[in-house]
Amino acid sequence: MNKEKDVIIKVRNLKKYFPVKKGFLKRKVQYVKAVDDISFDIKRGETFGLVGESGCGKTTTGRTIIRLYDVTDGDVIFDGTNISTMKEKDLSSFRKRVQMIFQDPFASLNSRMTVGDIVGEPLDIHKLASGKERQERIYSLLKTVGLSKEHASRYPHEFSGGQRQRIGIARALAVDPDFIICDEPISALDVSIQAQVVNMLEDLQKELGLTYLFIAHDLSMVRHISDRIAVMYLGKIVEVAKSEELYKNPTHPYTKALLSAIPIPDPDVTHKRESVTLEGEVPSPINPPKGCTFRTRCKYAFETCKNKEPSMKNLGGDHTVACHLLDNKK
Amino acid sequence: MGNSKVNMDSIPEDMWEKIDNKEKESDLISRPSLTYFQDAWRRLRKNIMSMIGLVIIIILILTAMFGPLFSKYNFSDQSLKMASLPPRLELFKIDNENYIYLANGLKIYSSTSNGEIINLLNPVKQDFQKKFKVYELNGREIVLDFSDKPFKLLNKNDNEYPFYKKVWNKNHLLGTDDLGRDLLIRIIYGARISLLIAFVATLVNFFIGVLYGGISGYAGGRVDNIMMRIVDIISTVPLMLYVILLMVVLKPGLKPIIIALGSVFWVRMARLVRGQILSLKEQEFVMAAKTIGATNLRILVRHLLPNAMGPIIVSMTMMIPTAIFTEAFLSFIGLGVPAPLASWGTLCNNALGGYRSYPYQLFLPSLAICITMLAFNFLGDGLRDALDPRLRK
Amino acid sequence: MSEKILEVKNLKTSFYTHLGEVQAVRGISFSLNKGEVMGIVGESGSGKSVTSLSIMKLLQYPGEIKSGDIFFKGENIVNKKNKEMLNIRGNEIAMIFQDPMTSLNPVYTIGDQIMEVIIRHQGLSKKKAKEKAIDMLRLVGIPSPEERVSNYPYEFSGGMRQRAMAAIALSCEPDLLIADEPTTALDVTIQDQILKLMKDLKEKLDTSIILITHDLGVVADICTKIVVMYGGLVMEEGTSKDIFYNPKHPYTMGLLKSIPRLDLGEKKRLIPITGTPPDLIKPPMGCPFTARCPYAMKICSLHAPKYTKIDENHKAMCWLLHKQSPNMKMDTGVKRGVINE
Repeated sequence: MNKEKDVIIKVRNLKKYFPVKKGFLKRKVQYVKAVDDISFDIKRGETFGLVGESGCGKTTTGRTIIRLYDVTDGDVIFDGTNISTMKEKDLSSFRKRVQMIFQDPFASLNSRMTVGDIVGEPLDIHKLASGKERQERIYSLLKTVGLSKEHASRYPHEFSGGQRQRIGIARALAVDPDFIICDEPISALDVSIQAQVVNMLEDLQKELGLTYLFIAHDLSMVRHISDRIAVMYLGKIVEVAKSEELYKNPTHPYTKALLSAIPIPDPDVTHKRESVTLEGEVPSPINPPKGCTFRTRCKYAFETCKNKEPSMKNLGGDHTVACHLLDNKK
Repeated sequence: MGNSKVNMDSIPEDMWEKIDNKEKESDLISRPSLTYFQDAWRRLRKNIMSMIGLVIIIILILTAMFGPLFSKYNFSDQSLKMASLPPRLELFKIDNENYIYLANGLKIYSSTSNGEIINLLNPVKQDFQKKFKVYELNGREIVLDFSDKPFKLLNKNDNEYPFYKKVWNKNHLLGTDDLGRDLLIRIIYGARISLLIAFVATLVNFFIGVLYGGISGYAGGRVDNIMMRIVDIISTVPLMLYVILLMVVLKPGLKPIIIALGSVFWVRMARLVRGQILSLKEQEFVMAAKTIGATNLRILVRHLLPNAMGPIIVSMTMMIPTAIFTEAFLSFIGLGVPAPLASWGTLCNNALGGYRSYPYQLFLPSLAICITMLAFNFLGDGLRDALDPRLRK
Repeated sequence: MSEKILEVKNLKTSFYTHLGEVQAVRGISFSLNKGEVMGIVGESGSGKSVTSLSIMKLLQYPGEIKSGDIFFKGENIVNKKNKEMLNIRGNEIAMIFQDPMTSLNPVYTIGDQIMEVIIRHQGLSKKKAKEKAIDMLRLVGIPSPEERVSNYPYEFSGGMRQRAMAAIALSCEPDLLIADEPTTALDVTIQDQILKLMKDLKEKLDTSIILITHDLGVVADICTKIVVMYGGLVMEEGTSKDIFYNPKHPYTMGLLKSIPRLDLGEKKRLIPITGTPPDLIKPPMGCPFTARCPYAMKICSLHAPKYTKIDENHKAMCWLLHKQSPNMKMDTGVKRGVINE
């Protein structure tokens, strides 16, 4: 197989800056560098995890890829087509192939529409089905996510968080997409419900051959569902690895700190765990530190970190890291 | 927990059967299905004041629509003989069949004992030097002596006719105005005019405000900035002054008032809608609509506006009394609907000349304005509570 | 060290809504000793937050305590008037809330908000109170507290606000600290800092802590005793080791099975608890977990089970523990991690 064909989405040097308007005349003076020069590939059929703490730009990355935000700079190549520069009205076919599942099951469904209309809206917009066919399609979508057709005439507020999230999944599936961006789809749900949704996502992936970009802050869940994981810090990707590898052999100091901070639901293990406490606060994304953005909180930081931005280095086996420490070791 | 009957030490064998709970897998909803507005209605129903307001408004609208069908008078029927008759009559007894009512302005009406005015009596003789008038009613002589207060009604033998009692005016329930027009029918017609102006002006405001605010809020950025500065400029013009000037230019009438009110009050609505849209458009359901490829128009009409409807409805309910009041004010200062049309404001204005002698002519239309405004305000308050999404559970 | 600081007996709390009475807490009992850290685990709607609000007597209309007793330091506080509670709240019992963004008043400085509590309960002078406020900020690990004391909440990040909340809660050295999902809104690295802080404070001040959370990792990390709640009832109660290594209730097992383990190598499919929690307007007659329980029996849906004592500290409410119950093969969900060294 051609290697290029395996890659469904290619992100190259993606940047998304939000202007901060200040002053009397609201002249643009500064930019929040929410996503600052990130690149990665997602292979067909895989689940690519994107983790990081709040404010690191992971949600912005997802929203920029699906063109909810305009791209500041860089390319997003979906199945050979560069969609980063496309006009909104030309995106229709892209919108049929890429969908999104949102974080807040209460805010992501329009409370004035019935569940049937919510799930059926993509069908109306893309004129995929109408009349009886539309009805049948809605029922089958609801069935796919474990709801019954009686639910179609109900309103979202009558459902629990987990059920609402499944309605959101049904809506995303309506256009029969290839690629779904899951933006923290389970973080607002109860533990017992999280597993239901995660299992459903895994089943759907197998059945429909979907590719996922799974954005979350919960590393244990991301590790469970993802094939590969990218760790973001302050608008940049600091480490990418297969999920096993990332856990067994975290290389970037930030990844190490992040992993060590997660309490394990096993008293004996978690009491033995030695967490690396991160000092200080995340710097402002308006004025990120020069050089390595993590150096202000990194206990291994040295002179080079201040001046030079580390580039991604391949450690072999799909494991890439952006850290100057790797040069030092050699 | 009704398990006290169980004997913990010996539980029947069959109790330990495993239950095959297929049905537990499906997510059953046991609570009744309520749409947003059904839910709001349920909450509104509990608010006694708003329900009173709502009932008054419904009665008012029905009366304005169908009231004239049940009245024998027309709003423009004049009868100068019957001018300025109050709703309450003080009757004097002449004999068992004949009663008279002494009106302001030294007029005497013959009447039945239950307050049905028969006719205005003409004096047979009058002497303004000695200050008396003589009338004749069915062969009986009545002398009205107005030389000294209180005026006296005397018979031939200088005996006073006895005061009979106060009765309701049976011909004109709320009396008549200075041209003898039935005040009740004029107030009902006034309600027609006032409510019509208020509803139409509010609807015009609603459409302009929602469209303007919706576009401004949804477009955001520079468009929003320019559109809102225009609104700012409009809102610096004193509204009343603007309306008065407009009315002077447009000549008084029904349409000009609606145009004047409609072109002014949308500013507040536009700001409200813009604010709602601004906060709603960041919500995830709007993003979801974008990712499924919905056009901007669709997002605005299908997703944003329905969610902003609550505050818009409350604002409209509150706008109606304001419009009624403004219309009344304009009519009161003589810029209202032309005669013989009557709005509550013109009724008040007409009554102003004789309000010392005939206070009911001013009081009754004012009361109508007050009750209507209160009713709408109560309803608006109730709606605000009922439609507030924060209270939704 | 077995002095009982808090004892809750058969507490029932309900909310009276238009749909009917929501029986949020349906008769729970537990006790807490001095210096103990107790975790209350459960999903939303299990009644865990309502329990904490009942103890604080901070229930808002239409919620009220229907029956039961709450003994705080041997004294029943269920019938205390609001005025009397003012002297207990903030002084002897303190609370940390979930959302650090909204639980601080944005128009007062952090210092003012700490000082308010100190002045109110300890009657210190303004100057002394300020010194104490600075000490408290230092204790909770806020850098350069002398300057930070006059900052406004918006100048603090989420983690720092939660520390400031802890400083307010701890400023009067309460005997009992109730933390309602204190780390749920925070990032893991900050969560880690807050958990360390709570452990430190417990050591230093010997405060008893009730930690309400749905995160089993957090519970495993700092709790010595765990109460598992479901459907307004306590399903299982025991030491942290009892719950994690010897769970007796199918719900506890279900929870353990449904979460992925970061430290265990193999990628196994998660086993979710099917269905949704019961509607507490019409709570089920029998065990509330029946509808979602893989081992449900006829008796479960008809009669609520009694508590079975497994040992001194460990009890569970399940028919499977009854002596007549059939032996079932169960996947307990216990996964033992490999401990290095």
